[in-house]
Amino acid sequence: MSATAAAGVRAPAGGLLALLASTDHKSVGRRLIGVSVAFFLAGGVMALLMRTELAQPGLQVVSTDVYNQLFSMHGSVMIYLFMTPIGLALGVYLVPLQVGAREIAGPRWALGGLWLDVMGGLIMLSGFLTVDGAASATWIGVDPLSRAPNTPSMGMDMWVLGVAVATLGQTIFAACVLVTALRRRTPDMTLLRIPVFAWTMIATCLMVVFAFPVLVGTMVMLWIERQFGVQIADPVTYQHLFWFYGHPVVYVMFFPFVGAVGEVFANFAARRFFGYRFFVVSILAFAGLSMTVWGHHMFTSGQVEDKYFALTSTMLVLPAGIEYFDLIGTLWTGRIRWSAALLFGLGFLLQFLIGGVTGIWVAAPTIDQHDNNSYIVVAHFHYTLFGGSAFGLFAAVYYWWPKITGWYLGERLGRLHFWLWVIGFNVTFLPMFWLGFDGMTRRIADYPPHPGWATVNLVETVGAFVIALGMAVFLLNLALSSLRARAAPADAWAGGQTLEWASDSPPPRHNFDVVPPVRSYAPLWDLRAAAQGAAPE
Amino acid sequence: MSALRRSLPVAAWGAFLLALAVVALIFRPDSQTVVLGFGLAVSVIVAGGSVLRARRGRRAAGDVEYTPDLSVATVVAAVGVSLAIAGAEAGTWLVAIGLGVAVAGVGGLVRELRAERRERTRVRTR
Repeated sequence: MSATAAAGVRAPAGGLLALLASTDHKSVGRRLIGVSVAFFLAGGVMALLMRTELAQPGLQVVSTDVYNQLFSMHGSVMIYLFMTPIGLALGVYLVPLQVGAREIAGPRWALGGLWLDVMGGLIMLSGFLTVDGAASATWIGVDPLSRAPNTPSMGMDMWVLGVAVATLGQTIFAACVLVTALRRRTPDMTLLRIPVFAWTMIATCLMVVFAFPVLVGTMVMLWIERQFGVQIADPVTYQHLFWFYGHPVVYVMFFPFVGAVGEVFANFAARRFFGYRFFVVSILAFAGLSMTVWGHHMFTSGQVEDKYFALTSTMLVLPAGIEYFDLIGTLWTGRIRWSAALLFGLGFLLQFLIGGVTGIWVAAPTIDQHDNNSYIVVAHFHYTLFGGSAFGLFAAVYYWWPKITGWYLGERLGRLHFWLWVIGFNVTFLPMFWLGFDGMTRRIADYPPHPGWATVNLVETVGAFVIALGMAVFLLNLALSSLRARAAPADAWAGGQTLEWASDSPPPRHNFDVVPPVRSYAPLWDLRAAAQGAAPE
Repeated sequence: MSALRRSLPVAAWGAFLLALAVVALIFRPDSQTVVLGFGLAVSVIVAGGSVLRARRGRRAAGDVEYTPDLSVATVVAAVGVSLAIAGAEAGTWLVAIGLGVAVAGVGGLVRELRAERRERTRVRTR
């Protein structure tokens, strides 16, 4: 223990050891973001291979067996190893700063969680190195396909273990974020002074802490079943247990970015977040409802009570509507400053709307019978998870990048990245609604030469490569901006409202020399208003 | 902040989940839905209660942090546990290596925690 530590102010540790073992929440958050992006690139390569295969009818690039591995691992990597942990990583980095804490609660636990996440991912991907290849029973390990007689490969076993380890890690660092937000706030930050993003992280982490352990248990059960040939749970019970995790995780991959976009809108519209109290109540109601809708994934099994799950699933439109109303209200009378972050936020708002509305379709049991297992489902969840969450993520990336690194990303390349993604994303996924209506089923390596299908699939493949081009532009932006390294001040966008903008960019090891007084959920706004002689709202 | 207010988000959320579980009963659902719905609500309420009771954990911004900047032992323990789990598939040799690494990590953690306790005592008595 250093003397500076005892004084409460510490210099950051450096070197390779710090890269591996720093307990600083900012370092843990940065490493989690980096690792998640690496997994994202791996999942993206798998997507491009799949789309290339589907560009024409027939098998040209990969075999059916490899295709099955690719779609199973693409879904697994994107959900278990990218979108879920990267949303939580933003919380690990930002929540202690936003609530005025010096450190995250349980820093060692958070560090351990990071390494379990990394190791779980590596275990999962190591399936590709085995003789029979990686897992091929879809990202949900659908039972009975995931039982040993149907998918006997070692890669499938590695998938089961990898999912369990990575999910355990995510549960641990989510618990650290939750305890930080509830127990480590600066003394004058009451519950209704917690910033919007931190509230969305509270809701996210509540879902993680109560839903993710069920998946860990389910994977242990599946592994025992596969190893010893016993049946602990029938396929319907497996589906209940899996989707008890599997639906909340959709919102775990959504809420952090709603909060991020809310912060972006408030800053770039130069006004306080609109409808704060309604937003807080709605996000908790949203999280509660999302824990009770899992059965809508099982409508076609005929083994769940359709009416209850249709009711709770449809009720989701109420809190979602409030959140949309608040986000639009924040922009409505604002003085808009255009930026790449704001553009990605708007992309999130509009594209997630399509994902949300099509979610209402599949929440209706009768329509779900028609849509089930078709490309409509693929289009729907990519509109929520890519058009929504990934765009929200990049709104957060462009917004908080100067805070995290101390230098800005290039605006011009940022906007090019945005437009390439808007075009590429919609060209790839919008036609899938038509393919689905026309009867094309998902998870197939080949399709019959049905009139129009080949052309539409070719167009979608071109769209996928435009998305990849957009990602290349982002990486180029990263490289060029790091060379230029245009230094960012503490309040990088000259309008920050929450406490992280009161700290240096990047923040010191101890986060704050002095935590500013907190009189609302936008304490820096209050300080500026007070300095200008205006009465606080 | 009072303990009651501290536990409010978790407790209110648990009460909402309980209400949803009760609504489910109207529809006479299958047993899994009932068990999962009520199990969730009860576990959230119990967690809310424990947040209510817990006294430790709240710290002011100026409080001293005793956690070391680097915790190699944590990384060693996490990697060891992961290797042991992977060994369940790869073979007992990896289980043995993983458990050995994990034990070394836990030993390091015990050492770190003792050092922390000593430092805390030293600062308090100064």
